[in-house]
Amino acid sequence: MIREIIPVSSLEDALDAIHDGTCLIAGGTEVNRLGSPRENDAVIPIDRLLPREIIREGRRLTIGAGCTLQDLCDSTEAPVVIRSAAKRAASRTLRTMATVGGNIASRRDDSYLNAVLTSYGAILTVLKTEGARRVEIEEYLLHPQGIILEATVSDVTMPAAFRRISRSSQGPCALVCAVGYDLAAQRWRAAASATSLGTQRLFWVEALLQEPQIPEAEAITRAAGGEWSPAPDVAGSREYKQYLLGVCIRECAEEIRRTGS
Amino acid sequence: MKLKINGVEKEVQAYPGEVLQRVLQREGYRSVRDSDDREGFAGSDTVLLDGKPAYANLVLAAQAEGREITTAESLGNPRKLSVVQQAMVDSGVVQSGYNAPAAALLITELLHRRPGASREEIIDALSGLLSRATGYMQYIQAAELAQARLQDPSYTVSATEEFCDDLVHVGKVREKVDARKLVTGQRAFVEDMVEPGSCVLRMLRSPHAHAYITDIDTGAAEALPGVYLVITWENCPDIYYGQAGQGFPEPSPYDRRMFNRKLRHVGDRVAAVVAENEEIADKAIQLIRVSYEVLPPVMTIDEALKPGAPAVQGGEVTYVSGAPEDLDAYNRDSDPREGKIIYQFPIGADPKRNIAASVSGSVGDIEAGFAEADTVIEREYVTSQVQCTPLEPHVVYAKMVDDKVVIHASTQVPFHLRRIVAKALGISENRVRVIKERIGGGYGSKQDILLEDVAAYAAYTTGRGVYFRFSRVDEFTANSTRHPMKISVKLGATTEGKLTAVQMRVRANTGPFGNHCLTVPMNACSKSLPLVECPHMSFEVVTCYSNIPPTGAYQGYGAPKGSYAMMTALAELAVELGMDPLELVQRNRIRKGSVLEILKCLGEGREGAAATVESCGLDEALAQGAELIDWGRKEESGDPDIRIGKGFAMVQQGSGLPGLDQSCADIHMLGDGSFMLHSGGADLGTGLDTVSVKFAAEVLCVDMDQVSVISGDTDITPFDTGAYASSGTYFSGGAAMLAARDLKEKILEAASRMLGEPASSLELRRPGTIAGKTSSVSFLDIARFTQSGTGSGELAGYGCFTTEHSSFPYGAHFCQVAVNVKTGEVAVQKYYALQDCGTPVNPDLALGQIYGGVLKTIGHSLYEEMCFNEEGRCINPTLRDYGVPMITDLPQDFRAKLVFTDDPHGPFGAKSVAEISCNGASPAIAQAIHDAAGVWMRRWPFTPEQVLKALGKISQ
Repeated sequence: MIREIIPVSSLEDALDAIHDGTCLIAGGTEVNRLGSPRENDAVIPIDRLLPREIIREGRRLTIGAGCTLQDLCDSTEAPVVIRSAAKRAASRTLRTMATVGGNIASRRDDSYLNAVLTSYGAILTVLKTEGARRVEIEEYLLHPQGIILEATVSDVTMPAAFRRISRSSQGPCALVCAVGYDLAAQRWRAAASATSLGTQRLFWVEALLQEPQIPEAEAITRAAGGEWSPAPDVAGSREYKQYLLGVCIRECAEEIRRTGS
Repeated sequence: MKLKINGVEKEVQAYPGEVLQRVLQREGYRSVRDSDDREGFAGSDTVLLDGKPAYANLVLAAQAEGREITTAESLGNPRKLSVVQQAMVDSGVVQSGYNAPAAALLITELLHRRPGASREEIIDALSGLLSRATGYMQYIQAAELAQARLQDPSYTVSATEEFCDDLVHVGKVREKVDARKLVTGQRAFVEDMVEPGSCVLRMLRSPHAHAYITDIDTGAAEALPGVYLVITWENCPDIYYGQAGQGFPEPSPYDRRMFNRKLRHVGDRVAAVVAENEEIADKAIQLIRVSYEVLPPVMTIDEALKPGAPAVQGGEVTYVSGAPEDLDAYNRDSDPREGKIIYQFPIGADPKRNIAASVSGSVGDIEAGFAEADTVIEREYVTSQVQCTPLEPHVVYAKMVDDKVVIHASTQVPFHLRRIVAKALGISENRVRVIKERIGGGYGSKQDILLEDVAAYAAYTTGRGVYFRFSRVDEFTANSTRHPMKISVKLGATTEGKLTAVQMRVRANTGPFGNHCLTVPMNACSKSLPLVECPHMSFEVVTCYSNIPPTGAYQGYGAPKGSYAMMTALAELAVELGMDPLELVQRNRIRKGSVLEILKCLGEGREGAAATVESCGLDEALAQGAELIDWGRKEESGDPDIRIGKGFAMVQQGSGLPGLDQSCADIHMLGDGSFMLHSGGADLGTGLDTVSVKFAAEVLCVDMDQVSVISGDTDITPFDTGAYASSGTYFSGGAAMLAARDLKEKILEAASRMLGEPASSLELRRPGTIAGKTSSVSFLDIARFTQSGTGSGELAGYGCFTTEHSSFPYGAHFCQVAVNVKTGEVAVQKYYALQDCGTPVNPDLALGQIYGGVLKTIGHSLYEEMCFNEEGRCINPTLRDYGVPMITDLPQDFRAKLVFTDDPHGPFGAKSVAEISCNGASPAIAQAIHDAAGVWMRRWPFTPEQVLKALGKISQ
């Protein structure tokens, strides 16, 4: 059980209050849940302090960290792929509770949102002791520090697709992967979330996708053998997940090529 | 702190970090329950926060300060239901009812937010709610009904077909008698009965799958202030018993004490602490020091039966009757640390070789049958260990009232529970009272005595009230599960598709104890072999002990596994013969009038008897199902990677256990001519109490509200073997019918005296009047007459239902699946379950039972699996990781249909319905996958990875 609540009146105060044995709490779906690594911590509630707007300016989309996943699902400003990823991330009850910032920061192994936002090249604005800083999402996922204020996608018209494979609709995922195509830079972006690896940007997949032809699924799977090695778990074996990565990356790339979205 | 709950600001006490659900429960908001220990999955803890759904278990009470909290208590009360609550009651969706209030809240929120919500939006709104009982379909219907009534309050269209034009209540949609209480979140479950000041019981469980306790030191725990008792193998009663709630003498062995020196599975009982509160109990648990001698675990059937395997139950064996002559020699090397095993009679056990039970039998000449065949196939099918996952975990509250142990229980077997607890405590049955409360889901697992014995002993020893509730992890480590099995089926047939020989060999894994070890695996044979007519049949059953978590009863008992093996083998045979599987089945299946000879050998621990099929709806079920699914038409997806296939299965179950089960009831005429029915039956949410009331009201020609029912209270109601083996409607309902008939005779006799006319000339007329040739008397008149100073005394009827007749329900399940041959994913697009349950007494509730049974088995076939590490620990003990189906897993087109037959032996022609619904999904889906992708799935679950392996896309 959470042992203490540390009230704060500003995000700066919250930042000051972070130390070993404390953690931030917004929606609470990760911190309070069964088996949470933070369940004996003192918590610093910040849900009422975070920005909650979803703003579209031209092609740029800014998602406040205090938005719930359901806010994102309901937003007509966000692209369909991001809305779908938010929707499929959890039941409606969880979606009305969980915040976008909390979902990113909890770095779940099976995160949909992190994979999709990585494929969009999202930039996070993070409050640190030295002030607000902008960091690429994959950088944040590797070195999480500070309080996420917002996530920005610079081009929501960018074609993207994602896949999720699991036995049941809400059971553990064997794989979540997402692929985007940066029209301005003419570069592919790819990411995957899986057990033991979390969400990773797959530079080696992006290199394969830069070839004139979309690589065969088998080629991606073969390459995954040396590059991407998720742990086996109840959702499936390592070989199965590597196989799926090949199939799903190719499907996403084909979808983007076929539909342009 | 101050919380605003349902519009009222309240001052409440909360510990720092305490979650909202606990605070609300303490404040009396009973509708906010807990099914998942903060997993954020099952939704029994749903509230609205500022109008939006939230799991109260994932919200700190402090986070809710200043926000509007809405609970289901705000919606309505039993006397005045909200539109949504009424629609749920009218749709038959309120069955076990544990999270029915949460569902009402979610649907209310949806219809407020989105008037005119689509089916997709209803599914999304309910996506955070687990329902194991009714398979979700009727939630959708309830939401649609509520939506229609909100637009037009006079809207009355029912989605449910009614039956029996000549009857008033039976076959009609009527409110389930406890539905109002459940949907509004009233005091109903064991947790609601706990009195202030009661103690809690916490269990220290084994970290090892197989070990001896070499030393246990409870001194520090006992010295902790607030600890009242610590129970271990050293101080518990030295009495052996079994946990299976079966009729005495049980075929299951007595192979355990309350606590054992030998631990036989991860999660086995090491010590129990009874303390003032949870915090003290948890601290005490940590203070217990235990030393173990760890033994190599035996996990699988093959490991257990391997020569020289460590014996899981290596204790001294005794028999109450029928002991073998060489028993002394057998026991010579028994290790006293292993304890003992007591058999009531021989069941083919050899525990030193890990054989818990074995039996075989045959009709005809099996070898001659195979010799006659033009084609012979033999296939093996493997089923996995799956969990019941009731929303209300196993729970008990025991207390002392004078010299009596009173047990508030969530049990399917109140009378077996009384017997077993009395035995375990070494006291007589008159000193134990079991009160069955409403059951928030059982599905067979509450047929076993998993925690009541310890709680009762703790209450008896300390004199205090003791509350013991399983955590969800406890459910995954210490609850009864479906037996894993390996079933080999060998079939012989002529070129024309006529079966000449059928052989079934079952290897089952009972785990650490032998509860149901003979009967579940036998049931795999007895509910599948009799589906076909064949002169030569044989079966063999061997059940082994192992160190997996316990197994036991689960809805369908052994039938879902036997049906999977038998029906899939028939489909494989059809392919070998180049025949349509449906045609093969039609040429060999049983029909009305068929004599089921094989049942002579399948008596489940006693001598069996051949049975004649006296009612059978298979003709219609198969015909209707084939038409609905458009059998024989090949469907195309338009995507070469998505292959469509169809499959079907015919299914069978029983209606209780003829010659073994017994149900009794009595009914009393009260002072105003209304009635009080006492039923020994245990309604576990399926609507048995409603069945009983309907039968009594039908016989006595009164409205249902003139009959009240008390059931499953061992001090008040007469004996009943309990709710298992599909016996509820048939046996317990039958007893209510007989009691009402008995009372009717007495009413007529009394009226005869009052009217001066012979009883034979009197007629019972609705509502509650006895009409003679010239005058009549009402039930009120009769009650006053019989209960006056000169009267004959209160009129009461008594019924005891036993039978030698078997009334088999039948059914046919058809499905269509889409198999993605690139990813291995299987989507069930269509599922049609057509069930013959004789007369459908509660048609709406029966449909819910069918939907629930089917979806459970879709889960078992495609998603669910208990996974273990090398040490025997379950590594996925949460609802999400285990893979229970949610509303988002529903087949796109899911229909249950009732096929009417009038059984000559069932009460008002009724047969059972709930268990049989579990028997069709596995074989139908396996066959459909083959039809789609050309591969046979011979192992549960048919996961995408297994499909890919079968397709050769990844290595085996």
